[in-house]
Amino acid sequence: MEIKAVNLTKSFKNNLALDSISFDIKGRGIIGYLGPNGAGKTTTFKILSNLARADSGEAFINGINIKNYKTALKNIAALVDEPEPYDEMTIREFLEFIGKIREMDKLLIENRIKELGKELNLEDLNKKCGQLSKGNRQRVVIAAVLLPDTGILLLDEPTSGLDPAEAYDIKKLLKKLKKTKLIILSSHLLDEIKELCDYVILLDKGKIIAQGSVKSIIKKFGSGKGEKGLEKAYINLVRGKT
Amino acid sequence: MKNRAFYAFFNAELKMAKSQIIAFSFLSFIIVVLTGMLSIKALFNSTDFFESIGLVIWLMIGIAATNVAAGIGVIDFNKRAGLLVLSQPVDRKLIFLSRLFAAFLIILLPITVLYISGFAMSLLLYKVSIPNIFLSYALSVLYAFSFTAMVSGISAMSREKSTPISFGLTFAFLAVFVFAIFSKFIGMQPWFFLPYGGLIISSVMAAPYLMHINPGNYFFYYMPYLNEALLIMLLYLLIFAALGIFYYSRREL
Repeated sequence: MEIKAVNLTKSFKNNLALDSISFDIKGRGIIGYLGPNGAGKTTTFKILSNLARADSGEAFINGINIKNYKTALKNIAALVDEPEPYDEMTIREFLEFIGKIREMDKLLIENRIKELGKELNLEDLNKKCGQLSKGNRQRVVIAAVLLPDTGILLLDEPTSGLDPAEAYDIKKLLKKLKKTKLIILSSHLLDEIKELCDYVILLDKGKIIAQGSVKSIIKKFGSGKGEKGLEKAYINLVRGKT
Repeated sequence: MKNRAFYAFFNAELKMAKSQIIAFSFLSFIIVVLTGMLSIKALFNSTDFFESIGLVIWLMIGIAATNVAAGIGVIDFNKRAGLLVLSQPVDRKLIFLSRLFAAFLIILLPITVLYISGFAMSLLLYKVSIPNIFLSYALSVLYAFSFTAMVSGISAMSREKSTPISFGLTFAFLAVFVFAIFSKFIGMQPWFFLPYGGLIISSVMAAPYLMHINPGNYFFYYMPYLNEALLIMLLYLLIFAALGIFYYSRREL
């Protein structure tokens, strides 16, 4: 499993969102993708999931250029920028819809819905998505992302809108998934990053300003240990005090 | 395998439009009945009735097509569901086309209701069938497809659903004023305007009484010939379907 970005550049009007970003992530585990608001995290995810196109540079998923998105995206599932299910569909209909457009087998869709229903504590599957609370909608979206069981996941703030108990369930699930999948996780919650990630990439103003294991980042840029250490390293890096 | 994704979008569109289909079909029936009642009150002869029914169908297609097609190109870009749906490994052309075909199918039901109830009213009131009913039905279907393609194409270029709705309804309701301005003031046929092509629906129903030029009629001074109407409708269908596919495929979120 591999995600590779080569000199990705993207601007919106006159605002440079990504400034020649390159990385090559291989293997399994959770990679933290951090940075302040507007740093370019969501833009990177959008380019990797074909929601936006890079002005220049290239991206590859398992060696397949994202320009060939119909093939490349078969290897990846993405939760980008707080998506929502269709209000008019029930939870089951929405998940079946995602399964069908992924060309999954009918029986497999049913089995995955059962599994994910248990793992994510999805409520009545026949309830319309428009009637769900924010937390429940988020769980439906996560179920839709996990449904095709792809090897690579892009997760942009997956615990956003969830209460602490719900967030705990998602983190538990991610810990299980990291053994078999490559997950790129964007989050502002540094304790979450510290708990889940093996490696982090830190962005600011469209550029990668640091990357390495959580321990090495704390050691190099932070002071102290644990959450405070990562927090200090993050603040030092984004405020240019390194 | 591509068919599964196509049908998934197609069925989803049908499901989401279910209430619209029912509402437009019911309204179509009511409007034809009311036109029949108006015919009795105003002592219409059969030709006046056929022409009126034709114009009701022409107007109803514009309104229904606008409502059904306005979301096709924009729904995934102004609602957050698009962030999930468009990040799937599915050809965007296929998504747009499956939704467009679903809209074509959706609009067939109210058109069919209009014709069946118009036929029934015609038999009831005048004891005769509507002239050229099958030809008119076929032309209505083509007009509906062209109108749907036009609105969906505009939708794919718009940020909000309100833009294609405004365009579609303006085209449908203000068409007669465009006819009057171009025919009476400028002295040319509004051949560039889709609703002008759609007038053939009413024209063939009232044949042979409606002529290409009707000097006494301010709003319908010109009526299109069949070949002109076919050309206008086909051009709109092809051009706007192509524009819709182009913009939908290239848009970013």
